[in-house]
Amino acid sequence: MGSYIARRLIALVPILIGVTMVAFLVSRGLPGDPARLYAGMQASEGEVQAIRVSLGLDKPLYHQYWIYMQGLIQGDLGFSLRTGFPVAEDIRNRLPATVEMVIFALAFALSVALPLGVWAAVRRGKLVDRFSRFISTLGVAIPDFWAALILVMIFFVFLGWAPAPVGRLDLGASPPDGTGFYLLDSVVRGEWGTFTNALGHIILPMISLGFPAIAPITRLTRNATLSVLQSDYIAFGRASGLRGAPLYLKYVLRNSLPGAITMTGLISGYMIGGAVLIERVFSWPGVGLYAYNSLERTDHAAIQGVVLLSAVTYLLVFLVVDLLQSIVDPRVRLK
Amino acid sequence: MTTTATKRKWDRRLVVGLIMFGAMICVAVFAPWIARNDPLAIDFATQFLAPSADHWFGTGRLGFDIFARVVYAARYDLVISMSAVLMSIVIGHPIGLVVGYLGGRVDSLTMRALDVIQSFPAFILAVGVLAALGEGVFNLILVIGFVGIPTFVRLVRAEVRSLREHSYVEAGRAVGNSRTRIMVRYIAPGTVGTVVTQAAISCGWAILLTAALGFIGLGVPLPDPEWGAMIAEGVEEMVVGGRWWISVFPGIAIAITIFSLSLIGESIADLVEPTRRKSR
Amino acid sequence: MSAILELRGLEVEIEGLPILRGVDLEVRPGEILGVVGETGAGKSMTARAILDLLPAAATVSFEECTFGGTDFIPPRARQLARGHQIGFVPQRPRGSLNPVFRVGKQIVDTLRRLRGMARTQAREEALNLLRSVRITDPERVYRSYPHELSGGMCQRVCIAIALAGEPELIIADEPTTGLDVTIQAEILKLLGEVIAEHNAAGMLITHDLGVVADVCDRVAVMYAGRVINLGTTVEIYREALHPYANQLVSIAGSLDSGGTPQEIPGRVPNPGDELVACAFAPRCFRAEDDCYGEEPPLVHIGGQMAFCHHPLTSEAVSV
Repeated sequence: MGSYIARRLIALVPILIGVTMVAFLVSRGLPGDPARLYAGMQASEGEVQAIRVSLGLDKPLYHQYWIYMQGLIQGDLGFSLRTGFPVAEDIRNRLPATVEMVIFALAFALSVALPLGVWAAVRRGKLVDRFSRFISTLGVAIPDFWAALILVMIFFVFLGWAPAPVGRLDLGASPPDGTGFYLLDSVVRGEWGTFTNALGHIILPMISLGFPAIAPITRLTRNATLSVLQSDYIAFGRASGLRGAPLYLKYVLRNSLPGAITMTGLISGYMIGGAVLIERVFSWPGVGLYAYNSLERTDHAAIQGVVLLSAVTYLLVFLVVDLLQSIVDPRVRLK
Repeated sequence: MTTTATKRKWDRRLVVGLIMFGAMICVAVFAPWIARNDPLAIDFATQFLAPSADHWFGTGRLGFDIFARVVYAARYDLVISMSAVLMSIVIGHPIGLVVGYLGGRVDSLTMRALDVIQSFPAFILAVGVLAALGEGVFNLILVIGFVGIPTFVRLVRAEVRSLREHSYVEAGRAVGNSRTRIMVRYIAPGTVGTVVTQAAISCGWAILLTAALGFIGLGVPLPDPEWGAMIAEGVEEMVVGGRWWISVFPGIAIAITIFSLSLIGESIADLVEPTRRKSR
Repeated sequence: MSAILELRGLEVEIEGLPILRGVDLEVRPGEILGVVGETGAGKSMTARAILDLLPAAATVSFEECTFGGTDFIPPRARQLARGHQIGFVPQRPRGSLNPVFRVGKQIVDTLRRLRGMARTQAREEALNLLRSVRITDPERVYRSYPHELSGGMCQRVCIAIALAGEPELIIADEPTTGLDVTIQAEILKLLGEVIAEHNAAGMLITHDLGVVADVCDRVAVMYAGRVINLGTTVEIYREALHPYANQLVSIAGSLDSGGTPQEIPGRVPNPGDELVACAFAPRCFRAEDDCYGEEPPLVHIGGQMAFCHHPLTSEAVSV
């Protein structure tokens, strides 16, 4: 197991280097003058030249990459012109909001999609199966940010059940101290009012971000379950007296899990992107809203910082997926 | 008996999908005849009108007629997404063909490069590149097309690797055809089915991406209409003023278009790959 | 001697196609009944019908089905028998064990489910079961995943699982499929021994008559969804009444003595094919007009019974 983790980590290194190269090229190598972009349109030619030198843009490209990497290793993503803080610090402060939302969205999507997928496979060709396929096709077609707005329309504008889609807490409510994960912090501190407040605010973002993930996870779970149901070991299990709930929960779901985990990894990459859109709708103060605001003000260091970090996060998610995979499926470790 | 029943059902999906998508194309082509109002006419006298007989989908902040804009936006969204997919295919297909057929070092290097590109969530990569390039229809096509390349490379490569071993390809080699000729005449035709299927699916995905980029202000610059940007215009109006119509109608247009494309994609996939039907 | 399992008139249809067309057989206490026939004769379907494991599209009917005196016609009774009264040994043993659980856990789970044992007790019993199927290092196998074991080893584990519920009957469905020839013999010998040791009866489904000769007490020969000849192994080998059984035996015999592989001319009918009164008539060297026109009668001679107009004996008595 240990050697498996080590091998996976080593395999990650060249990809990480490639990712930094792409991120570097996107921020420096594209047409246009990065120093001019960095300085802003109002800056004088002298200021632009000064920035050019300070960024090392007068040096050859490979040298620039070297400087960029040295900065990266020290956690330097540059300064945000908009906030005036280091980009790394800005992102660190906003990360818990995004992670909290993504985790809730994943949990929501999985809790709907896994049972639905298994059910659709068991009742193959019946009403549930067709219904789940219809939902799948529909789910792919509806943009998540639009679905978010529709939810706001129904539950805030018309029904008034949901709180205003502005931030993680009601206006004026003070966030709990701690990790920045409001739901966790409020539970740890026993601030139940804050907890219900935060919970009320996270429900619609959670559904909006999780909703597009339901379709692919359901479909994959269904197909994985079907092949499990037709397998020899299920036939033997049934012949040996395995029936009902234990058969489905212990055997079928358990054997469908590897596929579902892979899909969840893919989906979480999608959610990193989707967070930008959903946070925009709900003014959710996370990394996505940060990226959106940076886009509005063409704050390049901030944008490229988010781009790079998304890729690194995605790679880490896949590492975790592989490790989980090797836990739930002993055959993986052999490869 | 049951097989004919399922066949008929799949054909129906294809027909419905084609009719819906064809209707969207018609809307785009005949936009000036369908929408009576000018999509770019700014008129503060008609600001924020709810849907009515004059303005079927209501009006927005600048008095734009939303129906006209939804209709004209079909031109932008369809042209952008279809050109982008075309670009992905034109670049991705030959790469997949060559690396899949040759294998070896070229293949593994290309695959590592794709791994790197696909380490970025597609939407985020598009945002990053577009932010550096600047907005505009041409850049949008370029970026969405670029992000879609890896899908086609992988797809074609996988197909080629299985076709390469077929006996008719062996036979082609045995009679002394050149490598290029084998690839173009013997292998490439076999990849058409999967590529067409993926093209339909990718096209829906490209519309989604176009709209998402438009939604965060990286799309077609105002005042030209684009569905995603139109949804964005309505966010604050919906939350603060309860004016739901600004965002709702462009979203429905997106959903209809993508829904029709996935119907087409799924039914073609079933036609191309009959074995898939059995596993359902 | 009353039978432990008795089947009369078992019929199975799948999507309107007759698969089994009236199967009659019984398994007596302590014996191993071999069920032989070519692929498609309905051997596995018979076993699956007994355990109510047929696909959902199948319709099943019995004239009679009893197990140890209890009525087995209600599907519920047959479902509840799985693992408890009837143990099952599968084909393709490697694929039949769940790949994500260790072997030990799979046996322990079965014991807890079938015999309600506590965890520690089940662990002891699991190791005992592994020893009883002649596994020399039960501790290692207990800790292994199925993919770490050979096919033969996996089949031993499957047999251990089949024994876990202390069944009165063990049904083995082509248990040696996919195993090496040397291992096949070991597994069959093992199966015969454990059935005897556990005072159970056995039903061994196979297309290999050589296998039957080694372990079975009696043989049921199936053709096109029916048992067409049933008798002791010796009877079937020496003087099978039915021409089909007779030919099967002589082909198996010539193979064993190194002769060239022969086969019965014609082909096995597929479900849904138009059948004449005696399904075997088109391939039978003794067939006459009555074979095409009238249902073959049931003939009893000695311990044997057969459905045939022209059995291979002069003293046949029609009943």
